Amino acid sequence: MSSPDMSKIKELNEKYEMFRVLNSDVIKGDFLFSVSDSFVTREADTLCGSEILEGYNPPFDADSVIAFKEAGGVPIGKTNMSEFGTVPYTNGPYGIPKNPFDAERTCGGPSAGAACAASLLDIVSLSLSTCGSVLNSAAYCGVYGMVPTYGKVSKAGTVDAGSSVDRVGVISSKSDDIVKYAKILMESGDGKKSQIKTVGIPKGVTDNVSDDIKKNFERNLEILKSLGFEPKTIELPSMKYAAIACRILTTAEASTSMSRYCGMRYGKQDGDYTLESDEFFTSVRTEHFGTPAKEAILLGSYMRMDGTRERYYNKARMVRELMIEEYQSALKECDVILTPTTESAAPLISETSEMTMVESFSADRFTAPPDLAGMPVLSVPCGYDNGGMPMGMMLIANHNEENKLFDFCETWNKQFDIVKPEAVL
Amino acid sequence: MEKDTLETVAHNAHLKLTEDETDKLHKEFTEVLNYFSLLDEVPVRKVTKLDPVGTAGNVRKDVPGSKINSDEILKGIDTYDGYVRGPRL
Repeated sequence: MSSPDMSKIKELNEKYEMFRVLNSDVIKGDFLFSVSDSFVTREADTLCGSEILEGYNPPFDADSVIAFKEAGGVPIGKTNMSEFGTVPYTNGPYGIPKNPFDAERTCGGPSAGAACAASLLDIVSLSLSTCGSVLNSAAYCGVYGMVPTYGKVSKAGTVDAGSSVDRVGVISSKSDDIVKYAKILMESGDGKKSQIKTVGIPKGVTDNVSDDIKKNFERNLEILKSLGFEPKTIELPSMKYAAIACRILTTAEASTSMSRYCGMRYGKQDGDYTLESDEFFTSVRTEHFGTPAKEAILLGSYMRMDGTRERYYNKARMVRELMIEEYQSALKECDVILTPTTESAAPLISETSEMTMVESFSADRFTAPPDLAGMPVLSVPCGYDNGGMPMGMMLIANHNEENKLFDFCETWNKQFDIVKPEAVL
Repeated sequence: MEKDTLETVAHNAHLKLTEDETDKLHKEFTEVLNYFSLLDEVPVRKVTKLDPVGTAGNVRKDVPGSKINSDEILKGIDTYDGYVRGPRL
């Protein structure tokens, strides 16, 4: 492919802040890809959206990055994200990615820059899904997002937030890129066709969503019927607990993952060595962690400490097993499950910065449950609200049934005309 | 969460909070824990699986070796006489 015009990309980036760092060399390769700042890369430092990792230049690439490079890809830069993927909306020191359809609106959190880059440039984006972040951001930015079954794609070289939930995902404005690049990551793809006939719709799934999301979802159900799919109402009674459980597990696990950032070995190593160890670690962590990371560490530590562990962390693990059982039982009655991807189109950045923690958790309502259960998921762009903002819908398949999602992706693409943002390169 | 519990958690997590931060977080976390208390409705059951998604069979080959040499790893680390530098214990 021809080299991209980096000066135009830099100009776009000044407005949309999708990249924290751009590759300054001339770029030539079979395809270009962006890498979330939660993946280690040799070409650039890895900060995971946090000042505490400033100066960390990894001596190796993440396995997903290696897989893309070996397939002929060239990384274009590291995308902006929320600090260690701990919050659903990005608000960090390196830039807040602006929505390609309305620069006053958000692109989400951990995968914000990745989805923004996929929407504005002709590239595929690699990102880490935490509580469904890949799909949220894909829906907000009007592109496709896909996350394979937990354990199917190597996470070696990713900076973990919640290890038992995190998964590598891909984002692109092209449905065939999603299929192609997800298969590269999975190192599989036997080409077997998997027909979807029945689509399960959880009872009450459009309760408490915006009017636009509800009307759009109902409209798309009619389209699916015309394409030969058969909607069927199913019950997922534990879905209302699953988003909470996902949040508990990720904050608890993140609080232990982040204990390694202490002023030694990685990133900031500017502490006062005359201090005794506890004071040293406290001073470095207090100075260099941002508010989102501190909140996750404190809440997560509380969730797993003696005296509260049974009520929160262990209960969340029980909900995970329950959710897997309910999904698998429902998927005996249908081929895939369909829900909206988000409760509303992308909110205003000004609104997200005023949200309480509880209010922000509503971003994950639909995407956290399948993330908790490790189910393969696909978000497709499926409409635009009254303000022209994109909306997405999400399919969930059973473990290891990615082929069903790939086939749907191709079917949907044939009949849905994606609208590109005005600023697209 | 009681305020003194929050202070204990912060101390154990090696984070120092100002009084304003403690007050603000105490209020926020109270709201969060109220929201999380919905999980009390879920009946207790024994968690039987350490690998609930069944990934145990999907592992990389156990081939010894490393693609990174120690000089590269040590490049970004503050060292003293070949040892990683740290505070007094």
